[in-house]
Amino acid sequence: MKRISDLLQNERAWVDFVLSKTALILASVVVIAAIYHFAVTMNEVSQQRELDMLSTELLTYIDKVGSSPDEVNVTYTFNKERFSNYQKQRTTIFISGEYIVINADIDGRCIISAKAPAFRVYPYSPSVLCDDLRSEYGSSGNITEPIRAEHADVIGYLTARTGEVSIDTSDQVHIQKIFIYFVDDLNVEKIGYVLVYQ
Amino acid sequence: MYWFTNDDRAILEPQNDIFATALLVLGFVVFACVASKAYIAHQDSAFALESYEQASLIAQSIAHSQMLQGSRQDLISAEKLDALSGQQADIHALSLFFDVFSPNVRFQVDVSTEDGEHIWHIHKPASSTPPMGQIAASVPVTLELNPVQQVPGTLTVKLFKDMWNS
Repeated sequence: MKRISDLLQNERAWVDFVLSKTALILASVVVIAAIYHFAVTMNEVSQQRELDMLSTELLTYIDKVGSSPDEVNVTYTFNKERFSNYQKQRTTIFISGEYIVINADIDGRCIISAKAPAFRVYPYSPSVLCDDLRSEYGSSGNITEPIRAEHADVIGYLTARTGEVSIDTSDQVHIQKIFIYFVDDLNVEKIGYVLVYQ
Repeated sequence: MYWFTNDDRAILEPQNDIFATALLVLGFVVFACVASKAYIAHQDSAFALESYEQASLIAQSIAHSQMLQGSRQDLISAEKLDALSGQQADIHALSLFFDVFSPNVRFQVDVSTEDGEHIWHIHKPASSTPPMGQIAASVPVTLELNPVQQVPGTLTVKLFKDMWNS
């Protein structure tokens, strides 16, 4: 009882001092952790933007070829200076019929940039496309050998055959637009595909 | 003010460090808010720029498409536009028109004459979830209303921003 009375009558304010300093230490720890987290997040955002820039560049090439009214063939070379930042890390590029995906493993963290081309993409060479169409429909689909089938069937068949293809950044990428021709009893129709291959 | 600066009672003195820390936390919160707002604005403008380029390439591709071609390569046929737009649109032609493009890219095509007298809207027959936003790109075209009448017009592609791009 005497101790409590002493404590209540103590005017040295040591409790006040301990509490305020503890609160200050805690607040400082929280602020330092928040600043550190903010810096790490900004670094991640910067790396994500770099990957987005790489995928957008490839996407623009594919879309430009896809928008051409004629059959064209261009080659794309990956910018070595930009990729030099990722040489020490494991960077993989995949192209499927629907997306371009760049996957970078930076210090154990996986950063992904995925973009969807506006046009139909088949990630194989023209000879593979011709062989695939000939094996299924008996025609290669070029202007001299149009396919006797509905265009939706052919698109469905090619979509089902398309997998993810890995791209080597040290090699050139060929981006080629070709037309697949269809014929019914009356009309000849065509549909454009962008072939992306190495 | 004079009274305040000459006050020797030191009422605020023991809490100086608390006020300083509170100011520091407040400053950091304001800075984080400003930085995140700037990042969101930058993301939005980057998306708009990328999408505009894509919409522009789609518009150029459609302007040169044989499916809309009139009597000459540089003309767009009003008759073919009629077959692709409105309630009586030819489903097979519409399907062939949109199957040239990736199914992941959702867009609508609007074609109009310069005087606004004729307007065509071409869109996919089955639209699922409502779009969150759109980016539009236009190209000038020449429309062939009939064999003797050709008028200037605009072809606009409206690219919809969906959940994947948000």
